[in-house]
Amino acid sequence: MDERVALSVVVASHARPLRLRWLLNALEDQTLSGDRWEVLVVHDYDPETAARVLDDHPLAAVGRLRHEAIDPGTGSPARQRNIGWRIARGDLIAFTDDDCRPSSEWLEALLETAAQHPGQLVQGATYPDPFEDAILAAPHVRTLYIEPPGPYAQTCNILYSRELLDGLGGFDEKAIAGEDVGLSLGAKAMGREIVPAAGAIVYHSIESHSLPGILRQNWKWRHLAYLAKRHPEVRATFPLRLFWDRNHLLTTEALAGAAVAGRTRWGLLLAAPLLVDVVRRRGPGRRRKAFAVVEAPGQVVRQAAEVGGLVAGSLRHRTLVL
Amino acid sequence: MRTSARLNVALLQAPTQGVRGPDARALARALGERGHGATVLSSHRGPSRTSVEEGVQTIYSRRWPEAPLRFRGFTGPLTPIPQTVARLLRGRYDLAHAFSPPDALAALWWQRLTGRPVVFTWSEHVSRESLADRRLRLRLVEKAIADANAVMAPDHEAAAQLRRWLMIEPRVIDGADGAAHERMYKSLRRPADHHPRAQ
Repeated sequence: MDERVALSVVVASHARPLRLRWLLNALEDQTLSGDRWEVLVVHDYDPETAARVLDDHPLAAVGRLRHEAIDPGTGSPARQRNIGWRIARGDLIAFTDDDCRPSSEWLEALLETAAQHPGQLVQGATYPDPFEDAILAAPHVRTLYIEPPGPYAQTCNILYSRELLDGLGGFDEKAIAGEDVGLSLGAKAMGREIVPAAGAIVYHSIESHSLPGILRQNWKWRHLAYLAKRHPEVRATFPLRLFWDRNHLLTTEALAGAAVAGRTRWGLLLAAPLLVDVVRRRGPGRRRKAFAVVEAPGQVVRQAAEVGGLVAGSLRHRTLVL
Repeated sequence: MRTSARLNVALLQAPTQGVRGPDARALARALGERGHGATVLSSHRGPSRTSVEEGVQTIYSRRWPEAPLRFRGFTGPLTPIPQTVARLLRGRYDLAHAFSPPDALAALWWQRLTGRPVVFTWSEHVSRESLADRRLRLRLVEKAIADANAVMAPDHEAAAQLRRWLMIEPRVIDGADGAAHERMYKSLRRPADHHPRAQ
């Protein structure tokens, strides 16, 4: 087990044993020769679940899958990924998430690009999983669409060299959200670039949530204020260097309009851009627009809650991000 | 052949299911030959009705148009589920055997109300493409395999796929083998022993 490999895949997993299994099944189908890579899973599953999901997997039987258990409740993506890459046997570390499904050429394409651009970050594309396309019809979904090179270098599909991770000291374990963005900003500060890897595709699951469910899910994004405080250069990607994205800008504008609507009705006009955006979000067609209108109140609540969360995060971390 | 204790079994098979697994009517006939009562519970677009088809009592629940649900990305059929639960409660069945995840949901609601056992046979083709392809699909699949008293596969190939994708070790009973099903149903007096996760 002490043999070096070209590339280690590191996965932090929590509360998704079935999705993790599906990820491992996708890794089993990689075109890259099996003796050149390994996968390391750092998780907080009980021994029975770990045995069922990990020990019983064919990749474990051929020595290509290792896993490290941590105490339940003590993990975070940053901590788990740091544990993973530090015990990995590869000089290159590819990160993906336990709700992703890499294409079969993923590792081969990452490795090829890494060889052409030594020392750089290599990022592949991430698309919503076409197997789960129909779920996009739900009002509140969680998935990712990333065309590389993207500004945030999310860990669903990114490769670092061990030397670079060592130099950066790994992920910032104080960061509850945006730890992957912080790491890439550190790398950029060292003069490294994000290089796109053609063909290194990862498909991200599409999960539908109820409104309370998505509000709970998104509550963690308040900690993006910590990222902005630690890496002020990230504000270069923010609209007006203040808003996380355009939706938050429009939502803040609408909330400001609603606040002054008691004094002047013109204040409500400030809500118009958000409402237009929300009604257009399903694309053209009368039926789609009708559904967008029905969904509009939920979307507005969701956006307002995200902005409210960032206000709370801004107070906590003493820097303003909305 | 007469068996010692007569079972009254509800076989839940949505009309679009059963491509791979045992045909519910063939299984009902096989169970009938062994002295058990078996009723097929299905659904169709018309009003609810009961008929005898190929010698088997078949109860159809009304299936309301599912197009709006399909458009919103939901799995199906979902609309017959409440009526199927009501039919199960009225039928005084000893056991419900479901052949699709939505059928299993109806059977599991009945199980919660009556405490009686539910068997789930995965009768569709098992593939990654279909496991989470629509809203509620994965949740129904997870519930069916977690809460059914026994999970079965119609053949060894399906069993291998269930092992690969859902990490369960299902029992395999080929086709509509009445004797094998009878043995399995009767063994469910100790349900915990037969759950695939307990093995």
